[in-house]
Amino acid sequence: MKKVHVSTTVNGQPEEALCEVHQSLLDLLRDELGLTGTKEGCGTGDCGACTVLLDGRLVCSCLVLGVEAEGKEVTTIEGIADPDRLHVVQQKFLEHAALQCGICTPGFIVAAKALLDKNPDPDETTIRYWLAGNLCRCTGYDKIVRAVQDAAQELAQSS
Amino acid sequence: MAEALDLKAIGTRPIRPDGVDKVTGRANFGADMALPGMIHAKVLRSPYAHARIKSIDLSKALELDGVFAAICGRDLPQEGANDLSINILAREKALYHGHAVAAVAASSAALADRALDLIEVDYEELDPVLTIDDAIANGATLVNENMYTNGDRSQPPSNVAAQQKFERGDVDKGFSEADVVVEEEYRVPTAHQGYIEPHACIADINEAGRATVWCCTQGQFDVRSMTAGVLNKKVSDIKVIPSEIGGGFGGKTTIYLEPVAVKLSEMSGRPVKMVMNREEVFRATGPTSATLCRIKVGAKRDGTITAATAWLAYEAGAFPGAPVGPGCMSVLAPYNLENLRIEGLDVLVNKPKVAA
Ligand code: FES
Ligand code: FES
Repeated sequence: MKKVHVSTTVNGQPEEALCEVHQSLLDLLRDELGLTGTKEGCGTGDCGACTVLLDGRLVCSCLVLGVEAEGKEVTTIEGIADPDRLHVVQQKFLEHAALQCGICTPGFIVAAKALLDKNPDPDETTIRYWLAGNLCRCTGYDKIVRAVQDAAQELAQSS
Repeated sequence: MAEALDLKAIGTRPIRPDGVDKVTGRANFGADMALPGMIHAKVLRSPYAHARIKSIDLSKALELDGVFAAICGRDLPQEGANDLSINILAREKALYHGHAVAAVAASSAALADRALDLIEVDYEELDPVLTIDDAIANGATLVNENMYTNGDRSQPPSNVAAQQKFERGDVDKGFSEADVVVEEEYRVPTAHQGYIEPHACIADINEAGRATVWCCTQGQFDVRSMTAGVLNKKVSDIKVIPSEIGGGFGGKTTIYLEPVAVKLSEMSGRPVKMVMNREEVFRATGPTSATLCRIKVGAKRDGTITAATAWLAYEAGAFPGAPVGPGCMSVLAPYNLENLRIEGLDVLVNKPKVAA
């Protein structure tokens, strides 16, 4: 099958890739660009493990076609930390033990950072609603919510 | 107190050693590995919960450009084929909806999927056995025509693979001494562990017959010995390298893909990657047992229990091995009982083999 040329920007870097028309953005990231930090749990938009930002909007990359990334900006888990320092959301996930197996963690962190970028002072209900599209079978969610609350607090203090 | 004992770990909040890799996306899980020259394999699964497989024709799939190899049950070693081997690729019968019937390796996963549509399987549909009640009823359809309860061939074959009994005292006497007797029946449906990471592996075998397998598992040495067993190889011919594991909860204590990937690698001369999708995980990998339990307890007005009986039937899925033994050992264990009787049944049904 003929492949389609896709020019996109991933984590600030221009990228070129050849993509089959049926391939999802998730496949493009993982299989063509080697960015395996974004995970597939279901492939049907149910688990959130594949969460990325597409032009600043939170999407399930398993439900977006690879060719739709043409001319757009994609942010993945690999683009969240600075080269020398974790993002505060990542740091708080570590401190609060908000991960166990870690397969859901990239999706949660991308989603939580997007929330705090938009709403720096979310209450617990807002956090739980925002993360409702991300499933975790290990942690029981509570530690994740606390990590996000703590990250928000720290961001407020440092700004 | 902590000071007095000079405790080093208790009371501290250490950061998990694998944490940084997991919050940055560096950690490699089952599906994250890739090898140069790697091809991809997919599994054809039975659309019937119970069917006789009359024939499988792989030839059309093999003709498709980009297909490297295809196998079905007859391509695995037959001699000494155990339940695990038959679960990994069905032989005479498909035993549950989703039972692996054949597999194809191709240059891409999408192409392998397309090749699956070209495999011709002739099924004779059979009545499925889907509940404990149906499985233990008189004249029930047999999941396995060669299954005899506890191996006792003096009795007719049965869906009850094993039966165990624990007894103490005299329950009839105990119940007759009770002021109150309560008897209830409890049903628990099948539940899947639901780990977020689907099963995945890569296998690469060299010309000397030595295989390396990368996979997400709860026990790499078990994967090694099980894969060796299914392929009739020595354990020393197989090296298993575990990846990070995205949840298992007992469901990743067995194998489904690894021997198929090794076999396809052997036939194609390429590393072979296999990744299940979510539907395959739910259709074909180990859930927990559905159970049917009848519990009877007799007690005096002051709360003293005079007798108790428990009848526990656990669904094993298509192959024996439900954890009914631990159920029997624990069901009445919290009580100090003089009179008790516990009976446990390991029951075959046309569902995936339970794990954990
Ligand atoms: S893999 Fe995209 S939502 Fe589950
Ligand atoms: S940490 Fe395992 S699924 Fe969330």
